[in-house]
Amino acid sequence: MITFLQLLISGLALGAMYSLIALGITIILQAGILNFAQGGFMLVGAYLVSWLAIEQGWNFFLALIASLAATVIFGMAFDRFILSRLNNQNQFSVLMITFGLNIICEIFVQATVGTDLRSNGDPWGKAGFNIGELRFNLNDLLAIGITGILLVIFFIFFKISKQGIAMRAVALDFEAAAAVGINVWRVNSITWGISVAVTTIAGVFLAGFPHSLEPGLGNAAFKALPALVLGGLGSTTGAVAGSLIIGLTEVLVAGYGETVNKFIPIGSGVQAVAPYIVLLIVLLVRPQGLFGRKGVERV
Amino acid sequence: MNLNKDDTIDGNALSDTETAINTAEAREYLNTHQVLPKPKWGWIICWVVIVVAFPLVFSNNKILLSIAVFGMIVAVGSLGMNILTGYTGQASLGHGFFLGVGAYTAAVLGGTSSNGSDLLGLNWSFLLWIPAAALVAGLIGAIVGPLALRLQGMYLILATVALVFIGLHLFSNLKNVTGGQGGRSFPAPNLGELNFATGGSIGPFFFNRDQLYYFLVAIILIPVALFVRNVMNSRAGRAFMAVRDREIAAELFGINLARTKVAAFIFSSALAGMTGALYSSYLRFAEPTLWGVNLSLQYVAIIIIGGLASVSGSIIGALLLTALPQLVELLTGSNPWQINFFPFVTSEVGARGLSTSLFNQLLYALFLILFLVFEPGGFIRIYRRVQIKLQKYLATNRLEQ
Repeated sequence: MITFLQLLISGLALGAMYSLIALGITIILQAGILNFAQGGFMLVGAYLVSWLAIEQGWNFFLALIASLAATVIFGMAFDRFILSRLNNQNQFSVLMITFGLNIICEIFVQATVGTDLRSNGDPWGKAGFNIGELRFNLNDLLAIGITGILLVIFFIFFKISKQGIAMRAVALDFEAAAAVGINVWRVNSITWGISVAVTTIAGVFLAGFPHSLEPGLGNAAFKALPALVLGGLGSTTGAVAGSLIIGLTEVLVAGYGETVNKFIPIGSGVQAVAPYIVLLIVLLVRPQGLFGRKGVERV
Repeated sequence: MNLNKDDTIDGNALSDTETAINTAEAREYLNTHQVLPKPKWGWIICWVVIVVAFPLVFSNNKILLSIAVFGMIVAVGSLGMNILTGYTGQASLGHGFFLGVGAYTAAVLGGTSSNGSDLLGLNWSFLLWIPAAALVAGLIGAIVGPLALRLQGMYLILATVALVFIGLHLFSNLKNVTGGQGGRSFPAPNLGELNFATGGSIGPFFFNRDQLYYFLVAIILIPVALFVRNVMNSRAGRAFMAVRDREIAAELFGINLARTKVAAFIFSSALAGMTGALYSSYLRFAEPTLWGVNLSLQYVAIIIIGGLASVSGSIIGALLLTALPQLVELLTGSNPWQINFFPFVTSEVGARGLSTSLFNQLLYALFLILFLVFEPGGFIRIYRRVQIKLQKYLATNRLEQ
């Protein structure tokens, strides 16, 4: 029982981190672009924080803000100078460009910092406390808390603020939005900025205890994709719910995989593929996901 | 050439057909009004001579020969990718999985199982394991294909990404087949006395390993390329393209969407399987992690850089991107003058910084982005544009004279 509860906590924390990434992807997806480069942005952001905090000796929060600013500018520039050039082209080209950027980000990190494991530079490290036999890591709790706060801000922002309404209008109909006087390019830039900022925060948490920073971190963004489909592509509620389920699935499979393996030969390391198995099942059974509307096609 | 085409649509020519009852007349009509261009025998002979002479001239140049062999092997798979993505419009990142399936089918059927190891190996002839690799990969494509019917665009890409990750898990866990994390060696073709792994003589002539592979791969690639070209000029090919351009309109024309898409899937994965078998065999040894998303992306890059929906584009793209690593090696210090043209690239192994292999991947990604942004038609479109400009230039010159 203790094991189960312990797994539940870390599963929820992992799900919260995934949901930040998934949310970032969803915002851009509403502008019609499935961004495979999210992992790359996350990697660059997290490494920048770590480099500023450790090598340069900056305060962690200052480093975080500087890194957020840098990645946000990077994301906006990518949208403005590359993606907006092919606004009328098909989905496939845009997707492949983001995939290319993802690889470039990974190579950049590997070439400048190397492939060694390193700390993410956070001041809390492996701090935490026990309640009974349960261990609560500060990193996990902070991830859950900050994700919750960000989600509330998001929903208010999207439903109430002028900017949020403009973003939804652009997502609904690009040309009509431009016709009523919305500066669509600026709205797109802001969309990218928010998305990249959220992802950078997720990256810092993902590299916190008990994990550490490594170039493979970018793969976590790939795990947000099953979460997105499970929740329903394009739905913000779905993105969060899907991420929590995927995070729990991954951690529970990791915890009980060895036990199951004795009865059914599922092999070792199933937790890495469990999200994708969920993805395939969802696509076969209910392609619109949990919260998606049927017939909505963002193709 | 354009003038000829216009002739056939001419109203007079059509009324001629009705009166051409006599077979001799009909034959004469067909000879003078051919729709399909006549084969240009001069060019064909030229190409045959180049293809046959290449390995004989460069018999000891391992680098050039291996580029040619790898390039032609990859070209087979790129043709498959182009059928699915370029012609039928079904974007997929699952090619790496099918390559892996083909490779391990070949390994199990053609490999040897030595004493003491758990690796499966049936030691069949390569005349069986190359077609079998295509067959097994095609069968799996037939299982996966119907999944594609329900999914479009992004959903299909996500599903194929999932397929690749699940495939990676299977490959690293089926230790009897793949050798687990340590990888396994792959069989070399064997024809009687002739062993492809070491080279051998056919009659009085001796051929080394690379030359033997070269001829084997050329014998496979050329019919495959011709076959794909001819299929794409036929009813079936036009059905593929109609599905790509507008699904609903295609269905309205009486094209069976489900059958066309599944056919494209099977066709594409069978070619991928064959490539996987040949590639791993020429590579000799591979680890299960090879068959991942990045490999799939390489094939996407090849068809985009070469040219979507183009047979020659697939082949050119495959050759170009296979030559790229060697070119990078050459330019970063492996040349006779020992000059590194890219000072930011280190050729030392294990050093921090931009190693040549990383630089390679970087170029791949950069080319992919640059082509998509500036020339989505790929290399073949650039070639055609230059060709047309040249023709115009020559034509105006002729008029002025």
